[in-house]
Amino acid sequence: MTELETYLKTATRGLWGKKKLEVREELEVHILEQARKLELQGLNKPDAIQKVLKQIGPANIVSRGMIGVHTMPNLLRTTLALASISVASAMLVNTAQALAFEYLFGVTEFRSILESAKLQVKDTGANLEVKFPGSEKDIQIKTFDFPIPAENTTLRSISFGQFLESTARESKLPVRLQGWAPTTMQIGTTQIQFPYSESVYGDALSAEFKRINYPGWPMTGSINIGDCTHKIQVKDAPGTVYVLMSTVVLNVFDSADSPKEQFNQYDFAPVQNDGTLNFKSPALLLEFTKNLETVVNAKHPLKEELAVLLKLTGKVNPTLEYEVVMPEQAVSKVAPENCY
Amino acid sequence: MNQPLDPNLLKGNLELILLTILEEGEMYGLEIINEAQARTDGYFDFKEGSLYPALHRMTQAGLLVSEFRDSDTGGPRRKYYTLSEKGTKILEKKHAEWKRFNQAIDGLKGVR
Repeated sequence: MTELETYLKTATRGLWGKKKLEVREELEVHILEQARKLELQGLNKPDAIQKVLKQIGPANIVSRGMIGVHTMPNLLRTTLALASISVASAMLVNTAQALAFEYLFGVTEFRSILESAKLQVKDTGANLEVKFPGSEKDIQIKTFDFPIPAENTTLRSISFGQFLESTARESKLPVRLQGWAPTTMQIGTTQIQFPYSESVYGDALSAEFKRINYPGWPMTGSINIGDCTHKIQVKDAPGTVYVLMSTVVLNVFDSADSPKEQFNQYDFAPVQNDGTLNFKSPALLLEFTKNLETVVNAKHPLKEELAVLLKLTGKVNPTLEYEVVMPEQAVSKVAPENCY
Repeated sequence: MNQPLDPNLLKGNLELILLTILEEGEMYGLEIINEAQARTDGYFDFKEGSLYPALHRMTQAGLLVSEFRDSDTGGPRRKYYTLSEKGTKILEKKHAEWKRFNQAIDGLKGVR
């Protein structure tokens, strides 16, 4: 897959059908037209495309913006989340706290992911029933029709959050999340690979985010301008996943050893860690705290500049466990001059 | 080159800026970026990640009309955006609000 194809695939992730094709075509024409100008200046085509892709910024930001417009208006997403919680609460015995479900998968796509892990999946219409080896019972995943008003149609979908919670609670098997792009979900001896790591970790963390009323998750959307890179240094094993949370909108960039695909999120900074997180931010100062709740709740004089670094353990029990860590070094106390 | 623009200022006024640019006539995405840069000496430098979602959102809200058409130069087809009737009315309203806001600021500064 070429760099352009990878970009377009990422930028249109989460869109469906005709809309996906149209957004892809619009972006492709845009990129190729810019590249042609560079070709006229003497660059060869691959170099020209590479340069354009670097200039126009992360594909994930396009994808987030487009998903927000075309598939999940906030109100609808909230409604869905509430509906899903009700569904899950009704289904689960002794449900103490249901997750806030934010991410949806089309049933066809989701089923093919499960079946590629050699799992038996039965479609009953109302549910997908999944049989995990070693599980005490089959896991029921509720299906529903997700409306796509722009296309005057619906897409039969499942909530990833409900799948995760039901699996973690009902299978009685240890559940772990590992890695980034793809993220591996291990349930007992079964391994499932999900291409959408953000949604996997995001849904796994969403209960905690909801508990503290964290405003930055899920998708918030923002103007992506500014060019100030800050570094946070930690020491850890490759593959460890971190989340950087702040009340300000962070435009996070991956570190040099991060996965090939770019993951430039507003408030989610998983890296295949080489000890350094690099991120871009319009906020100039960050003060790290070990108290997660102060990030959103405290009347701290520096509230706008507080940040917390979460190290994800990967263990889902039934929500994703994490540690709050202080970075070894946060080279973001002094703003570089080009930041604004 | 101007002083960099406060991101929040751009964020808060993106709709007004895009409507104003498209008041000149139909344009496609790259053309809008180039036009904004040219007409403001680089002050408005949109990133694709914010421009395209905004254009799509405004289209969905009925402020813009979009259609794919073959390019005049024989290249691949492009998606052109135009102000709708609703967009034109909103633009007039936003321009009036902006004017009043500026006058108020000038008043605070003692400018007459």
